[in-house]
Amino acid sequence: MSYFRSYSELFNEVYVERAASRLPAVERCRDGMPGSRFTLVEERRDIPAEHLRSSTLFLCRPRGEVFGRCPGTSGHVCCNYNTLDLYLGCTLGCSYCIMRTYLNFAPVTVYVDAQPGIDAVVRAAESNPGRQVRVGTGEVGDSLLLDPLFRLSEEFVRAFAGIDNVTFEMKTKTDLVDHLLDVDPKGNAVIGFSLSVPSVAQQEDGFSSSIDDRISAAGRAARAGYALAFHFDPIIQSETWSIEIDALVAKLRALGAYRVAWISMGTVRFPASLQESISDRPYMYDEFVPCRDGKFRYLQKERIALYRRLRDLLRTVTDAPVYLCMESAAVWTTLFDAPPVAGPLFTRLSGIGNHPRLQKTGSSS
Amino acid sequence: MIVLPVDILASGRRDRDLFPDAPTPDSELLAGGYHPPVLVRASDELVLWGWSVIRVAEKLGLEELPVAYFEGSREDEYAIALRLEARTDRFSFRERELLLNAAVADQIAEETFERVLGPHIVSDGPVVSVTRRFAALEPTLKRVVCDRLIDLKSAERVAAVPPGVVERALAATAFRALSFSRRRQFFGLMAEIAIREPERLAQIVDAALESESPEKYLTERRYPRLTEYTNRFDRSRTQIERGSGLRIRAPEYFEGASYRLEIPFSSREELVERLDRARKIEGYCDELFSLLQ
Repeated sequence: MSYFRSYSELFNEVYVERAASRLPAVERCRDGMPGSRFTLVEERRDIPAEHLRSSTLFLCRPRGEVFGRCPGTSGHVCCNYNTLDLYLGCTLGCSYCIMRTYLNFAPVTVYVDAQPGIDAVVRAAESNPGRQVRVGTGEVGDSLLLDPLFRLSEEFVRAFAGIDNVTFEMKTKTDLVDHLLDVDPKGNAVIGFSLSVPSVAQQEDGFSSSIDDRISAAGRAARAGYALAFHFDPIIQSETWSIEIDALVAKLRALGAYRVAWISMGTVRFPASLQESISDRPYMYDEFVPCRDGKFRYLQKERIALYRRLRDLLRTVTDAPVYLCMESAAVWTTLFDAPPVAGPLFTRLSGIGNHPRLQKTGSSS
Repeated sequence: MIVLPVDILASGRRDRDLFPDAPTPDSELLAGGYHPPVLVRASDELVLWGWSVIRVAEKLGLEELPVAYFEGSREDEYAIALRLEARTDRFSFRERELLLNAAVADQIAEETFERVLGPHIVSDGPVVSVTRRFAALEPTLKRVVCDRLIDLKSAERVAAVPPGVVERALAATAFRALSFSRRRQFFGLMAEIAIREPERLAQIVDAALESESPEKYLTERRYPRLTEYTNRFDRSRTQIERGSGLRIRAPEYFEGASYRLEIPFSSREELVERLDRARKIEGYCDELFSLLQ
């Protein structure tokens, strides 16, 4: 990462919920942000209005259910992913980020107590024997951007390492993996990297790590024993996309032998509410049409062409399952020659497809 | 009642002549002495409100006008002038800009303007930020916003369009004949085409203005692939439906897996005949599905 030298540069204010103030992750944060002002509050609403912004960090115990099904999107196929809330909000500033529509005026929140999330996943795994619980922390924030500071991911990795039917994914656009390399055991832990062609990443991925740095980090993670995942999402087409994607997949090939848990693909999509805030981005002037979930996407035929090209390239590198994120059944069927829930892909992607809904027991405290 | 000569009032400083779009005062009320008095600052006789009254009085040849003296804070001066104007939500953008600039020159902070004066200007929403957006427009666009030919947002959207192209559109009868919503659509599309095809924009806009439906022409240029699919489907549909009694529909925006075929029939013979025609659609399948996959 090159855009900040210390976490103190990212955050002007740190508010700590009193009930969480003695947790080890808070102590680690204090150690990692020397000189920063830490203010104790009883609850979030005690944060002054002028500090309700993404340059404020709020550390607290988890609120409500931290474990749940990925909300997916209506009228489209969900991959039965489960989410764990850990880091809520992000300072990377990717232009297409849906969180821009609702988290701009909120502090970046960290649930500094991992235990409720661990307990919820363990309960779900125990009550669903024989089914794989795919769960990740990258739904509402980057899993690793703040993790070197709080070191919460390793608590999850260690806790799930002995549970065969839990696959825990940390999804990132950074190269911040080094603090995780020595965690032992790792179990089924996966580090997932979001990838775009470099020209798009440079223009649209805000302060994320460069693609080369992400791939380099993937190599380090793989050599340390982590399974990898790659998320080609969002795919933004450009005049150079076809050439650049060849080169990008070639770089994955050059990484050598490594385990890939899964690969997802998704073309850029946005709700009408995001349209105005990204109206200065060149990709907005491509052709988009409204889809069943109200989000705008490339024309179906164009999306299929992009997916087909990437899928065929990926098949030359790995036989890992490749799936689509927030896509229609029509696109799934065209691309994989079978309806989403019936095809061999879902059988291979353990834990998704064979059961309509993961059974959950209880709730996280 | 205090009165002052109209010529004295009219020759005073015009710092607060801020309401050029105020409705013309009723001359009968004015001549009869029933109009609210002109508001004048007590200390230096600066006219704080009533320039539209003074102008009409001059036209009517009135010699004197009733005045009311006022002395208060600068915020109070503006607030009372706005209350006398009594046009909340009906001030033009030009007036809003004049007001804001005058208030700032009088050392009224923007925050104070928003909080104290804003509610007299608009009943809902921010005043300062919206007025600043208007102030940033090119003069031509300011004029058309004030004339309500287009809205502020549409004007902002074409900020990147060369002024010459905008002016050609604004001057065109075909553009002016469009309804407000169609003009908005036209401007939005023109702004997007300016980014997609900057070198051909002027030519495209000219062609649009000469076409039967300017915004439809621009839509087709803005969405060339969707237009191509639509045209291709329409060609197949025309062939399929011609004389067959069948109706075929594509999924909206070609987003989906299937086409819908409607076979209305009113007798066994008609059903048989139309099913026979329906079978011939198979010959169009490659073309139809090439639009979806």
